[in-house]
Amino acid sequence: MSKPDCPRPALSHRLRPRPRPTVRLVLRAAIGALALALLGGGSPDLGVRLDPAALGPPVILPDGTGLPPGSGSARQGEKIYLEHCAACHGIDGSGGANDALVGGRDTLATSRPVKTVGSYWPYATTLFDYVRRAMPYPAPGLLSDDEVYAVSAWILALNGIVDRDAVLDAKRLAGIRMPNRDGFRRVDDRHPSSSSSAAATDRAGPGAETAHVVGVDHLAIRVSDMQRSGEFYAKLFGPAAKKPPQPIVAHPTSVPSPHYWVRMGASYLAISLASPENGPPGFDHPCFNFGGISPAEMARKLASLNREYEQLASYEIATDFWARDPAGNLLQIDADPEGYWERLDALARAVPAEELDAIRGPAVFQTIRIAHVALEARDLEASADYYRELLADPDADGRGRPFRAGPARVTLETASGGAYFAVEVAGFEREAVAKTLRALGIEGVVEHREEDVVELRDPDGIKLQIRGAIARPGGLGESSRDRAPMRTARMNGEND
Amino acid sequence: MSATTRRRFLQATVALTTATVGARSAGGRAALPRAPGTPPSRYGAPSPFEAAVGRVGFVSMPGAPASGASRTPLEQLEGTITPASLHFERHHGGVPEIDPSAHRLVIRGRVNRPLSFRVDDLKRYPLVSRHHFLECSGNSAALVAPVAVDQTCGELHGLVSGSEWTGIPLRTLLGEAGLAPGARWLVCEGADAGRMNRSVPLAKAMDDGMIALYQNGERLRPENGYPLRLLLPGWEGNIQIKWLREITVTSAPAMTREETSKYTDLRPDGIADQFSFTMGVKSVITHPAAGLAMAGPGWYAIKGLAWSGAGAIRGVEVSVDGGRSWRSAQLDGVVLDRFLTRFRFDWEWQGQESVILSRATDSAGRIQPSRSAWLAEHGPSFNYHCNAIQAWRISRSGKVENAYVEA
Repeated sequence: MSKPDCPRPALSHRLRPRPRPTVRLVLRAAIGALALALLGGGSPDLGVRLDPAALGPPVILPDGTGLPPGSGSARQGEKIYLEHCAACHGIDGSGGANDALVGGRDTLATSRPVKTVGSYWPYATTLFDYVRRAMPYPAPGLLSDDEVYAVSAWILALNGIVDRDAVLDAKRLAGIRMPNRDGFRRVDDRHPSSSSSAAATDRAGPGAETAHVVGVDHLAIRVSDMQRSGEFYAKLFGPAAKKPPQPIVAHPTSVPSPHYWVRMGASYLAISLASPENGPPGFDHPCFNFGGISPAEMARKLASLNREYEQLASYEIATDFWARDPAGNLLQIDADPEGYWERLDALARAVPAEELDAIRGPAVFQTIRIAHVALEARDLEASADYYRELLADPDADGRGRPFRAGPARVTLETASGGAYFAVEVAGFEREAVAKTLRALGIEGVVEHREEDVVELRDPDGIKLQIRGAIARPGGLGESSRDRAPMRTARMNGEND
Repeated sequence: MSATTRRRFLQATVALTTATVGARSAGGRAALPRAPGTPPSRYGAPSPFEAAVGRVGFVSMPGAPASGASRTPLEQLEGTITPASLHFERHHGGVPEIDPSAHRLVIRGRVNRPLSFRVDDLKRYPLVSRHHFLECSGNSAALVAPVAVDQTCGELHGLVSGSEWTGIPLRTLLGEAGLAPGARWLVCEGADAGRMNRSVPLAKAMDDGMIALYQNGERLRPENGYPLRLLLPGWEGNIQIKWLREITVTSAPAMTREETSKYTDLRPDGIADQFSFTMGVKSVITHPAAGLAMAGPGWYAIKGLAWSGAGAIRGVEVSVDGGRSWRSAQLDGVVLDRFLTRFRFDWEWQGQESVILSRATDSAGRIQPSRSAWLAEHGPSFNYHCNAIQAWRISRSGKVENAYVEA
């Protein structure tokens, strides 16, 4: 709640009997604020709300979002370049004392690569952004937007990417495909924590890398009443954004359903409608992100792993896989370290954030991630074998030793209806959280002292837990990492 | 290193050696002062006898005064905390002078409430303190050179420092702004002349990202981002934006100059790794090391620093025979996640030519690679994330210098 919009009520407001509707709204806000305060280390909320109109120029993205109006020609740019740039970068864009901007094409795979705007830079938007923010070095900000378009055009013309008569504006600049656009592989951007991200940047040498899960992307559940569940989750965790019916977040055999997405920090909860085709209320599927494995390798892995179980074809997007575990649980698996974000970004762009219809709520908790998914298993050993292979965690058993899925974990429950999930929240204190939930009128709140979690059920009886951080994998005191063999043969002997 | 600096180093070395020898052989007693010393001082400074200790390895980009780097003199320091005055520097547009009362931190973009914070208000937030190393991803790049360069430990590896950082978990502020649908990245911008910017995955920010206000107990030094900077434990230094002024939450990375044309890792096949954020497991021997000559055969404490961006240091091994055999070093004190760990190893030097090496393993089971293995994987034009094992060759005369060995 921002200060200008929603001043905090005096305490006495809350004690008045039978509040009028407006007061009731304020009261609800007060409960939210109180809940935050109860969480211990709550949120001081000392920022001043900014008027979106007064925010200054937006960030420029590679699709051209944020580029300013205006235009400039390469011919104009040549004059500006000679005046402000040539002294350091050379008259023709190379041979100066500082970075070469021109040349170097076809050198990247040689022993003497020359990295210039023409040979190396993947996006023309970067050139505009960098020149505008940082150049000319002695006086950044000197050039007008038109002049930055012009000098960008000239540097691109020197590289033969546009002609010397070119005129650039936002649309034309964003439409340029740079020669080295496909020269990058994104290796690490999907890792939810640095501790689990090392494999992709491991410098230990070739062959050290194995596929590893980087986290729970989302959990999809089915509910009997979209509005009721949307309100329930929005109240606890923040806005439930209404998505148009999309088959893309459900399994290939499903019929399109309306969806709510509730962001839970690094993961999200996807809520869809239970139906005779899609199944009764409960878990629909968890989705795991895999890093360090190509889609082709994942296809091979699943083909061998799923011989005895149902293997569903990848659906629409070649990096998405669907499978059933031995107990029949549906799983979504994403193994596209490079394309995943673009796909999500495209989805996000398709439905602009501000136009989203969302159920809002006080968002009592600051979510960090879906930290634990417990799945039903009829034959414990068969399921454990499956997940040991799938999640590449050979020493786990899904019971006392949970499978690691990046910073999250996966366990197996033998009881029917035993599936549940846990949401990690900031500033977790068990007693305060239980008290808050009860104050919100949520029934059936149970504290588990040993595991230090608070358990509750959603309106359809789906069990969830609120919890604090799970010990960091790779950090001190993390037992699962202790199990990993520390030394390899190479380190064993003193005489090797 | 300039000739003058080199000379001062040698003088310091000689002085050190003489003092040690003197203490052992003469058993003399130092003279006592005959008059009172100086009064208390407002802000202390090192002893004048330590005047030779300072940052080393200054480089600057031609035509770009104030941009460049300086390095921590690792071989001159002990323990694991780097004094703020000796923390390495890397600036892309010089150090700005920022009046904290005029500075604001803005959070905007895909958030429910764009917010602006005053520095004084940020100091009122619940703070956390964490020990973390900070390493420039260009550290140790000299090991890629075809011939071993004659540099000191600090000149070779001094783009790493260790501090206690105190600040606000980023998720607290992001939680107050409220993440809107489509939030996936933060584009973070500094208030330096070039407004340097980098894109940070939201998950990392929510996991352990911090807005740091204090370094080793005092407010950040200007060269480390005063009044506030981004801290992303274990990740390359460049992304941890100093003088942080604006965080824009976006659906996609901005593909800024620093994350495309720089700080990407070109492989021999002509394709570059992008967003290779995590620093590898690494160790360096800080003593004996180039810049510190040996004072004749006898007992020596081999010591150094080890760290990993992926977790805690599990072990360090030392070889005194060029990598033919390895023995475990002792890890000193408390070993912390993504912080510098001091290792120690006792050694009797017989006066023969020796090559000493160290090799670290982290809690994720990763092992520091040899230089040849690292080169074989990354190729000769790979300038960042060099965590290869580096060797010191000790000659019979006691001179210590950087060397390449097959290990």
